[in-house]
Amino acid sequence: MGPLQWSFGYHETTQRPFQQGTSMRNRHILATLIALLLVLAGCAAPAAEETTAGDGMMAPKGGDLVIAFPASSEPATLDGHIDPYQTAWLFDSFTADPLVILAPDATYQGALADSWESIDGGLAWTFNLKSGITFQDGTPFNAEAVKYNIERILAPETASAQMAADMGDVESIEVVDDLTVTIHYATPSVNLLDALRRVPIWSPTAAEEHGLDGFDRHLVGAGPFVLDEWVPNDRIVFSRWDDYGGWNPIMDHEGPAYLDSVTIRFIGEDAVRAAMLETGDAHIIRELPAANVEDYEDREGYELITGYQAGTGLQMVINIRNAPLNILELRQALQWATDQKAVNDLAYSGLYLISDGPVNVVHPCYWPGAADMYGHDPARAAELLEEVGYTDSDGDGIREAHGVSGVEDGTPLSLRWTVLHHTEIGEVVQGQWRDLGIDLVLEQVAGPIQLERRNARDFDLMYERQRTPDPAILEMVWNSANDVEGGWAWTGFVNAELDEAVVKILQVADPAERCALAHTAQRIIMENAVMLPTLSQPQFYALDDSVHGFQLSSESPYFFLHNTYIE
Amino acid sequence: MFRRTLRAFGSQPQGVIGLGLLLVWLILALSATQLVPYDPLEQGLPPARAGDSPVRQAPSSLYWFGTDELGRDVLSRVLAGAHISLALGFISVSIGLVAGSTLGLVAGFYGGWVDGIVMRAMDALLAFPGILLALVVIAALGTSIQNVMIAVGIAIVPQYARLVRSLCLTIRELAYVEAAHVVGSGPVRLIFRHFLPNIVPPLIVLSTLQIGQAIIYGSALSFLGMGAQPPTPEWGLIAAKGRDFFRKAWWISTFPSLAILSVVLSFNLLGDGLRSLLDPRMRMVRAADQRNS
Repeated sequence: MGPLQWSFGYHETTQRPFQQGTSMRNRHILATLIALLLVLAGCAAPAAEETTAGDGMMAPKGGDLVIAFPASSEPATLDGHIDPYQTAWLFDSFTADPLVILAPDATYQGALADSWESIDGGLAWTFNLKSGITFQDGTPFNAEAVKYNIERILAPETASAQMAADMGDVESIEVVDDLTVTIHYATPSVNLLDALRRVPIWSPTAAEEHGLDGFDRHLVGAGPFVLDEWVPNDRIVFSRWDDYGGWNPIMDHEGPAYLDSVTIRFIGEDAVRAAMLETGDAHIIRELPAANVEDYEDREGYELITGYQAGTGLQMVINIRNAPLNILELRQALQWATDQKAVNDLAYSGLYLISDGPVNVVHPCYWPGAADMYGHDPARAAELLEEVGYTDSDGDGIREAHGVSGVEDGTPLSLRWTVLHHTEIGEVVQGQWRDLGIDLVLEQVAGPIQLERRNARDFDLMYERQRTPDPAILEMVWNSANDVEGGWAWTGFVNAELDEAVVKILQVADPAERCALAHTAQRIIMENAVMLPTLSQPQFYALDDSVHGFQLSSESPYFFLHNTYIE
Repeated sequence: MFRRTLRAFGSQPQGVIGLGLLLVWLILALSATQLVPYDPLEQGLPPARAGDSPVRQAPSSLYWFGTDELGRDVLSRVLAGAHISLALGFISVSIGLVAGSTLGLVAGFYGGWVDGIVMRAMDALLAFPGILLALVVIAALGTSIQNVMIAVGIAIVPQYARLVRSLCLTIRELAYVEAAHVVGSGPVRLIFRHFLPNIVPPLIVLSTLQIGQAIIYGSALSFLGMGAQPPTPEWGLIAAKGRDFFRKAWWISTFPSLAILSVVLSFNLLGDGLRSLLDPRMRMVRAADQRNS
């Protein structure tokens, strides 16, 4: 036999039958190896579900999801215990499951809590916790951890801006056993579940290690994702926690979440953010501007999800301390002078929700009577203005005071409209009021300036938006006892019947009774015209059709990524 | 003399173009109320085509520059905004001119510790970029078009102070000025008789160039939401409002931006023309060119 010869070309040889036999044997070996590899791959990743790829092969669910957020929604801190940023609470929910969640069907369901019970009409709440859960750093989750978290929120040094208030008048926290904790209240807490759905339960070990200042860069909870990095003014990156046990009821599968990573990108320009799906720079756009909704609506390859959130809407509260806004008829004239539908049509192509009272129409305790109280009637508005003493005596188109109580004669009717954003609403209203001889001066201010103005009660009409389906929102904004520095009642309106109704909302557990009280409150507020309802902003999410399993909460600013994957 | 100057200016094409463009804008600004096809504040103008939305209508025979995000006529707003931008430029520069020249004159004339204090203060102001300085002033005074004029005026004070001071240092050393001093001319006479006439031409040139810069500053401040407030048809504000719709309604931002461009260009060209005319060094270069040709 000659030396073995190698060739990459094709040769006719006499050894062909032998070679063919070898080839057949090799193919059998190769097929066996592939089958073996597939079996091994299946054994190696039992939790990862699979999707069918184009070639018929099964690929594990996963992907690196990128979500574009408006830069203005980047929180100052990621620690939701400290600051009241909705987006901070949302990002916290990636890293830390709360005790309860508000599911897409608007029901409260246990995440880290197995069950709960309200005792004596909210004087105590007992939570039975799920067993076998550990935080991402290995610290066991138990009643002591829950106690630690609530005490951390309530501690004065935490200076929790809202969560401490939401937790209510906590008297003590009792660790009944390793998996049972009872919160005792000095006065009944009827809306604790609504507060707890936002409360991230942090690992006490990690929270202690990093302290109040540093913990928001090292969040450690028992949620589906681990915080990798936060680059302010740019991005937040989370990666999958492989040891996540899937204890959140939102999960549709066992084990960890599907996504390999989640990147939140903060984009300053609306126009740039709106184009990020088309450019392939993001998979999801949050807060798609109304002007860009048509870009993704009913368009192949994209999905548009619209969500609403119960709350006050973009209301303008009226400072009634000074003339002329202390005159009821003038405030009522402003209601008659405003055409919310025209504002919505002109500024947002009719995509926003029209509000007609202190809570918006998707609020469970919305009072339908508000819709019938005022409408757009410029003639009625003009009549009221003249009744008050405002006429245009110099023919410049703006009315002047003539015998208006507390206002010097000849003073033009000029009011200020102070907002943080959504100036276009003010611009349209400005046009409507100008036709009636009211000069509306718009001022768009930054958050700290608004804070300064409201603390000094230096405003005429000021933007105030609170977002929650709980009717307790009315107590927060309208209880005159909250008209203190740091409080949320800014108008100076004092009404004993209103105060009584809104305080009672905090004490009554029956949802129907709470709504009845909320209706009373709304009626009094609208009768006295101490706020001007405008519109409610929907949340528009645009999604690339490669995204699957994205779940919106029943409150549109919140969503779940537990079952999301990219295909 | 006047004819010769006019002829010399006429031989500078950039100056003539700049002056022509500026005159057009001045006429438009002064007669805007008669020229605007629609009320610049009227929202929801009827659509050019039945069934269309009144907002963001593309340019058409009805609305030459289209309509904006609230259905207002962009052409009317651009025309109505002309006098705001021009006034902003003139008033801001007047503030900077008066304040800066006075400071520079005092520093250059008296010298010594007065010069030291004034110029160190100017150095401190110069340490901030003009727009940042204007932002600081606006933050202190509040947002309004009047405050923008003050802020921009303050931001350009150091440039006038430096120019005037350096001119004064040169003038101070001139023989006839020294002679006037020796024969007993007082400071007021020296300043008004000998200093001011010599610093006016460079100040005119600087001012023409600064007006363009001031308009850009003012528009930038309005663009950032720190200047004119809605519904004022200020060009920077209109451009800012339109930028969110740029991909689908380019006309909202484009036309006011072009207006800013053309006005600033007109001042810059005019400034260049005047510099060629008034700057002695440029005069010498021109004369040499003429001799060579």
